[in-house]
Amino acid sequence: MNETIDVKELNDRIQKESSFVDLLKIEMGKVIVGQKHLVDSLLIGLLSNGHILLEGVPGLAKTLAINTLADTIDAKFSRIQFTPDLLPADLIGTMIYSQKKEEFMVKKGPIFTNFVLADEINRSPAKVQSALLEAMQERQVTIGDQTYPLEEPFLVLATQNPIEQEGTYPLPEAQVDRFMLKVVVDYPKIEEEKLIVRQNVAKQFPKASTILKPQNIIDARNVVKDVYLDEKIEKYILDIVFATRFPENYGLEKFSVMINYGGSPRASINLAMASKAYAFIKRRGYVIPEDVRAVCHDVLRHRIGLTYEAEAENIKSEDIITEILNTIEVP
Amino acid sequence: MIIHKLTYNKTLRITLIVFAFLFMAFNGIAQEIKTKAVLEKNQALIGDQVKMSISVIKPKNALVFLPEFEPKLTDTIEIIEQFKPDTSILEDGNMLIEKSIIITAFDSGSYIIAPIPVFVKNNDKLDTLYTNALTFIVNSIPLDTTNTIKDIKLPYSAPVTFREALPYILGGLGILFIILLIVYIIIKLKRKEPIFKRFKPLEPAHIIAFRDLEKLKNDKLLQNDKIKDYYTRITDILRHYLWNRYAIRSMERTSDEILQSLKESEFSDEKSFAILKDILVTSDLVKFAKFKPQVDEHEKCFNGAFKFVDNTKLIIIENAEETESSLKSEQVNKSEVVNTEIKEKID
Repeated sequence: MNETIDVKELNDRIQKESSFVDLLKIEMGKVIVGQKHLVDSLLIGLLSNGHILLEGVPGLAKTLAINTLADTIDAKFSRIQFTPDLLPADLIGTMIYSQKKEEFMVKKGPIFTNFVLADEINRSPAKVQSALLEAMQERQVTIGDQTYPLEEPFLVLATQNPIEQEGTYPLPEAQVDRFMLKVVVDYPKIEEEKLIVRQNVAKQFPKASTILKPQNIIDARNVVKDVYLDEKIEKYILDIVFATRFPENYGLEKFSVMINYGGSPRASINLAMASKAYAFIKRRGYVIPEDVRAVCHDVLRHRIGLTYEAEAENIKSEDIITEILNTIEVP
Repeated sequence: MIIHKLTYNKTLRITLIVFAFLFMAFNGIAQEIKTKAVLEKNQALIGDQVKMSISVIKPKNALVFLPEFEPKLTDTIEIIEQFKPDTSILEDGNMLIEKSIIITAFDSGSYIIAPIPVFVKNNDKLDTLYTNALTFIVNSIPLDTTNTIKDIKLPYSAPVTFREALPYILGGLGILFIILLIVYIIIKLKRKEPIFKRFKPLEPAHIIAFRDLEKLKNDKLLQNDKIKDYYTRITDILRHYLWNRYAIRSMERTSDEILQSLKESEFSDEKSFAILKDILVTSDLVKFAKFKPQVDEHEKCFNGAFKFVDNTKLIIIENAEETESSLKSEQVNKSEVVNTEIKEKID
């Protein structure tokens, strides 16, 4: 922390290393119309080695966005449709008996890839969710008595639908916490939707070109870690997270009865990492409060447990985060 | 046999003497103390309330204990109210004690009110005297069968008193206040104005800012190589100034948000806007990117802060007409500055 950082040198380096970000955005923009926040969030997850939970009603290009991201990177991609009858072995793999070799052989599951799209994750039972989340956390899978590390970069992008909750298995709070970001995808604007319609009724649907290799992402992740995070920003991040735990200490007594539990230390870590990645996307070598505020909702919205009082008052975690950001002094 | 007859006669005589003595004694008490029960009227309709009085005339030295009645006098006659006994001295020196009760009955018929016992103590003799029995006839409402059957009459509406109307008046005023408050909040939100304006500080915003800048200069942070603290203080002074001057919640906003809010508040001085933007950008670099500006940058930043406050300070016009004419004649945009002392410092 005490080493002198030459901001010019750092910025020059970031400018150079982050040049692919604009290219990536252009390629994704060929397929995905609008949804800038979604694209930025996917990049943040990709660059800060964090998994992403996407929530939105059907038809908002959640799956298409992830597919397109995988297309732009020369990496392996698997899509797993989570259903109530899915088993952990369908996900991670199992041992099968080879009659030819007369021995058990490992059959690896679709999780052995770079990008996993877990579509409608809340439709499968807890044991399957648990298997996926375990792999997300440990970045390795054990089949039989052998442990297999997962390939890098490894990124899980799970989607869930906020409607049609009947017959679903909501993710437990402890497991939701393992997702770095929870991105809420909203409807496109009218102008954007006009372009979407035109694009889809045309003879040929646009396709994104492959411009990156997995190693580029791994290198970029190391650069993201070098993005400078000042002590003042650290304090700002901690103030925000602590305000979710002890709102009364920050002049937000009204939330004391509404918050069941606040952000965990993982929330602080992820907020710092996501802020660094956001600064990188903005091609800056240091984090400013704007970066923290830009990612704060996505990082914290699934980490704040609300009480019945809050639900009765129709207070959402987003409202609490907004109020916290409007109350805590910016450094 | 003769002996037995003689004994019998003797016993009879003694018994007669004792009875005669007792009769005289009781008669003596009875002659001195008189009790009476009277009904206001002997006949009443069902539910009518009738006053019943029990009176006792006694010598002054005699003690009388009037009964306390149960809620019911008989099975069918109810007591509505009991009054305290009333006493008065009669002309012959005796005392009249009178207790009244209000009775009613809800079943028609003829009822006998049994004698009511009154306990007396006179010359150390205790006795129980009884009032006279009373007849109380309760009649039902006479039906006129010659007339046709009429519908039930609605209850009479009593005039509404102010006391009854008061809760409704207060409630109505409360609802009206809430509606006006909601309308006010909606208008303020649409205009993107703060809902509750901050009370203006006793001192004008620029006076506070100038004083804080002066203090910053005297603290000599730059000389002690506390560059980061120096720039933090400058931005904090400006942010406080913006809050006091434009009610922009700048302490809780980032540099970009502050500039955006200033634009939205129709801040038109582009030159001052550029100065502020420059200070905020440089300060952000110093605060968050360990940027070390050149020495002349420090002075530029400090002077810029002074200039921004000076350019945007609230001008209080002491005499509007006079100033207007002077503005026209001199063709200048600024009028007299309140604090001349500070102005001298700036000059």
